[in-house]
Amino acid sequence: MSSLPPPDQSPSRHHPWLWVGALAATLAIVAIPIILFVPERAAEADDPWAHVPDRVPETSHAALLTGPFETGQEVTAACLECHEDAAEQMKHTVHFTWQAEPVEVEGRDEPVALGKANAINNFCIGIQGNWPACTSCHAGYGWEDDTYDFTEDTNVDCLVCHDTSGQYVKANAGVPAEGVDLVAAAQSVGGPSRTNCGGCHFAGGGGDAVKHGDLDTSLSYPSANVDVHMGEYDFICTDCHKTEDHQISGRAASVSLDDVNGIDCTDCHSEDLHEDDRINSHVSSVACRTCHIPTEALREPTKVHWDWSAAGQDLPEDVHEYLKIKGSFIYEDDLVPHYEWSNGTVSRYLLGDPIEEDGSTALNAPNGSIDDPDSKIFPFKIHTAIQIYDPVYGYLIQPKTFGEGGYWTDFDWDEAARLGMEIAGLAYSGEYDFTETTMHWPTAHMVQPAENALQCNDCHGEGGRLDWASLGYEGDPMIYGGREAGQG
Amino acid sequence: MSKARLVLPAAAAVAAVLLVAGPAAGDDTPFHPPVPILDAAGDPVVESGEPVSPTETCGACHDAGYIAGHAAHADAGSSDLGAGGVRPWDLGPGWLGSWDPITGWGTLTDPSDPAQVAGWLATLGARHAGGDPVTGTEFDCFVCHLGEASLEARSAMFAEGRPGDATTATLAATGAVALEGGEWVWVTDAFDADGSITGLVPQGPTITACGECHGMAVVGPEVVTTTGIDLLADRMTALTGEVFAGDRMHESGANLAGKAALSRPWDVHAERVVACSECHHAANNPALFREADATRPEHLILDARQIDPGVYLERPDHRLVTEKCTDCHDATAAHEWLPYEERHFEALACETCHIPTVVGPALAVVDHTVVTTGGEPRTVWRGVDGDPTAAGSLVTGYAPAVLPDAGGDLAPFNLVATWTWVSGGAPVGPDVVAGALLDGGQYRPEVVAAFDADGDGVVSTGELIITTEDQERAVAALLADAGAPEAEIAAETRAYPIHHTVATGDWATSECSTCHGSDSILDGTTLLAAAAPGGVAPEAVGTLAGAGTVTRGDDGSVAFEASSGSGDLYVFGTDRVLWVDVLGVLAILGVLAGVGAHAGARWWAARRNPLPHVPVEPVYMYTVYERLWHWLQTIAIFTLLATGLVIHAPDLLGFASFRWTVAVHNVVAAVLLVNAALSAFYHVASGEIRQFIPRPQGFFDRAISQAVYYVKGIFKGEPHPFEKDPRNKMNPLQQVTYFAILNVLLPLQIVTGIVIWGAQRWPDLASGIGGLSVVGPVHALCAWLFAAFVIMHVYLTTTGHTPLAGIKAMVTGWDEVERHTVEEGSAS
Repeated sequence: MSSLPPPDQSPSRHHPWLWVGALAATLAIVAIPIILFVPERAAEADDPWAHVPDRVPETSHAALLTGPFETGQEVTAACLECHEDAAEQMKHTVHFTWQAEPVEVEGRDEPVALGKANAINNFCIGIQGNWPACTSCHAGYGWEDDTYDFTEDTNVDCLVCHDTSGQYVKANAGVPAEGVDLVAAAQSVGGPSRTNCGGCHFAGGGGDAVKHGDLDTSLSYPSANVDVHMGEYDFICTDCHKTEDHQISGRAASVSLDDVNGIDCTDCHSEDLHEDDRINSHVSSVACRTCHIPTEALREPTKVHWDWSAAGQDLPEDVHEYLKIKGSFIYEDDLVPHYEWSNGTVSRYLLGDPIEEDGSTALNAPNGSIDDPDSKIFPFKIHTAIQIYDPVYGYLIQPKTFGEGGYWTDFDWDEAARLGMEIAGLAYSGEYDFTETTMHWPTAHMVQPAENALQCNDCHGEGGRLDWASLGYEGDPMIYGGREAGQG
Repeated sequence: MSKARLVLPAAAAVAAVLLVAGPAAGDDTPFHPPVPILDAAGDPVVESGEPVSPTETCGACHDAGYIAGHAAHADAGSSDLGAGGVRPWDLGPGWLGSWDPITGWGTLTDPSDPAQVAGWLATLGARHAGGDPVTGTEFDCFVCHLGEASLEARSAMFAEGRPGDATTATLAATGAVALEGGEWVWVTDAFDADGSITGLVPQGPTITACGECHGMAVVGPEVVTTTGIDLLADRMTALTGEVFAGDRMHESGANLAGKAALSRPWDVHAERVVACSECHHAANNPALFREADATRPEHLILDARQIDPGVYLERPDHRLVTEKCTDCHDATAAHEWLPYEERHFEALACETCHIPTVVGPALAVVDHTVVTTGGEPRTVWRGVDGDPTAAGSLVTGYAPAVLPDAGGDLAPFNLVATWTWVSGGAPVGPDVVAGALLDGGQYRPEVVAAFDADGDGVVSTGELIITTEDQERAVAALLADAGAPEAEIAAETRAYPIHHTVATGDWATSECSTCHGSDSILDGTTLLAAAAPGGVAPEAVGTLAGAGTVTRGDDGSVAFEASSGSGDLYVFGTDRVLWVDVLGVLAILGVLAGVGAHAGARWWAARRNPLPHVPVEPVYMYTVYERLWHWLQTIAIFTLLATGLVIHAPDLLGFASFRWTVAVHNVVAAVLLVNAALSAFYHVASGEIRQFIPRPQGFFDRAISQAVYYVKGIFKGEPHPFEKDPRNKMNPLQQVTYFAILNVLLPLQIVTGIVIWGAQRWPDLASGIGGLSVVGPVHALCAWLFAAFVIMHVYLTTTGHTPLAGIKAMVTGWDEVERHTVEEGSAS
């Protein structure tokens, strides 16, 4: 009933730009109030997940490694058929060499190569002469004495890190324990889980949580309130200890002289992410861990003192109190760490160094002070020990404890000292005594989320946990001002 | 570096000296010198053996007279005696002059009667530092300034009627004085040669010292438990559930509901190491003194002529200042996220949002009309499942009642209802009630007979309440025997303000629906008691009087109903004016009914008489701009009506977040406003405005003929009385309708909308025209009318020659216009 409009009547047909202009005006009418009224959203914070490596998909090796395998070396040889570079890579890692590349150390003439292979500690003291017992945690096979062949490819132990069957256990000298099903282990290989790493690192010092207060078997399957990364977000060790060509990042302050390859919270988290300016003002002086790891040894007690001088007596034995071969111990759980300035490096006691004549000899005291702008306050577990030394030469003794003539066999300190020092290549005067040593174990795991982190009143005010004077402050910096306010 | 940052550490350092005045943190050297302990004659007590005199001891250096004369803790309300209080029998409003509804003590009627004064000291003296003219006690500096004051020993001296020994007893924990055969004897070995107690260092009042009388206060990272709350000594905690402690709730020893999630500290200030004495400080403390803006000349940031610290230490003004939140905090710096920030700040106390719940047991009822076998009043607590003194009771916490404070800001309170017997114009003391009802710690037979409902011979906790007249008579008779004749029950409800247990923003109220909606805490009813003893409703007294009413439920319960919406306060989403909504809904229903009937009639008529064919011809009716303008306004109006309805009744349409809806409403309103302004300019500039103006000449004739068409012609298929063309788009009825809408409804809606939106920027604008409680309902009424108009408007677009012709024309611009042969060419 209507006719179509004549095409020439509509102005818009003559002026198509009218539409464009009108649409633009309309959009402007809508957009301008929105821009004016909608509040600006704060810029998204740096996403920590962006720094977490992708997990490599697992490949089933069940059909590839059918065995039979008689020895660990045979398994390694099979691995190397495909992973040709793996052994070469492993042979240049401290997990295999137990000794870092030589580095210049202030106050020493020659570069020093330090590692578990030659360091002295205040737990089982040192591996020289005691290899088989210690090298059960070596990522290789057959390290029994100082003639060990570090160049042999098949001496690398692939399974200790890659077994997922759960039944792969190493015995003395790092060889597979009796009864291990090597075929099952080989077929199960995958990326290292918390249990693989924990097999050695949770058990450092010869038992669960002995050495590290922040590493124990509760981290195999942790709850969120034990470690937020591993518990709440199911992190595995290599998510933070990023690994390339078998070089696993991370630095152990017990056996390191430099501070390269270390891991820090700020690798993933931005430093000033706290909403509270007062908290952010701490980050230049206080390490993240100091507040976010309020206590360690949350599920297993950790050793804080070892008295070797009490060994050799026929007393009732308890693994947490007294063993005849080792002496007496003190363990603590829910341990409040000790706080010290640290710039990441340590002053390391090396075999042959003189001990402190008065007081305790620090084996790896952190370098740093309130005056060093690169230093921050870090948490440490302090482990003290009463261990054997040579009063004539004034240095610590590396005794032979394990095996024939060792203290654990004969309970004869003199013989153990003589044998041990011979292997270590140091003179022994024939006299021995006991002295106190101190080790600092950095507290880095068992990280807590914000709701469990330390609060102001944990450190400041009455009953605070920090010893301001020992840290070099005039007093509580809440009152006297921090080091930026003229103290540093 | 800013000045503020420079000043802070310096001020803090001075504060450390002036406030702590004892061992500074990390410093083993005590600041305060040794103090020879002197008796009233000024001789060392270790030589004289006499009771200690704080006035002499501390007065050797400090001006003890000045201090006692300038201390609310000393005065304790004695200077207000005679001013009267909230009750007929109160002598004054303070601690000394008024009855204490919590303990039931404080029945001082004659301050000159030594027996009454002794009675007051024996019952309430424990919470009085002495130094007032009524009791004649000495101001006991040690109560607050000793690291470890022996307040129990001190209270015992008052209870035993030995006020002269009270100050000596305060020193018991120092080991310098001991009770031997009931007498205090100085321990000579504990003194140095100068007469001072070895190692005793007086200090500023610690959190612990304040907590001894005021409530649960814990210093440092220590574990809090909420068991064993004492009505007198844990006053603040008992009254409100407030706990001043820095440790995290989930690390505390308290049995808290949902504890794992309660990772906040009990009080953020305690966590941040703010001591009581830093907010409640001496008025002339130079470290914390700030001159009020009112007296400070505008050109002076700081008057450098501060009191000399030495003068301050000699004469510290003990009239303690209480800092408000905003004395330290600049709230505007942390609330950018909050819509209508200034409006919220104006109406609310900081505590209302920052103390969203009190995690602690607080008194709800104190009933002195009966006693437990322990001689205690019957108490009911809120925020706890069961007995608050039992470790196994679950502390659930409670949401405070939100009521206007003294300054008119809405603030959190705990309401406590109390019942007592009154005889001879004064409350019956707890001792009299206990003596009347108990005999040797057991209920008298008359009590058991009256209260033992289940007949098991025992008056259980549930049975211990006066619910019947028989019970009331039985107790009154026992009271009469005990010397309180003709006793009647009186009751009151008091509001106790809540200032502690403060949470940071993460834990504070930030949900709009907390206040805006049917569950609003601002429109809340607070249950006072499940039953009113003796049926007496507890009248609101003190600051609570006038803030609402006490109502009785059908089940015998009593509740306090806060009156919200009073004055300037109109809470969107919560407050609505009923008649506005009724009128609005009726308008919409009326229009719907009208157009429904009209449409039905048209449909029926069209079926009977198919409409005759009217010749039409296409006309380019609406320009591009007119169409864009129209449809943009359409979208805006529909969006505004929808979002407005959500804001008006968020619970009815709770699918959208209140905050988002308000933002959309504001943005779209701005779109509508700009669009309307541009179109007004267009219509004026182009002269099209003329189309909207009814021409007076012959207007009524034309309007009537259009009306006649709608009620008659349209059903017969008659042609429209007026021809529509690009220069005459409106019929007379349209013109008059738009004239009204554009001149009355739209401006009113826009103006009220701007006033509401601008209430925080220009609060005077809103209050000048009656406040939001007027503007809000007007805005709502206009919206209802707009909605009704929209319905009518849409319906009338269907009255063209085909039902969809009008809408089609507004889309394409091309309309099909009836050509009336008789009037051809008449349009001009």
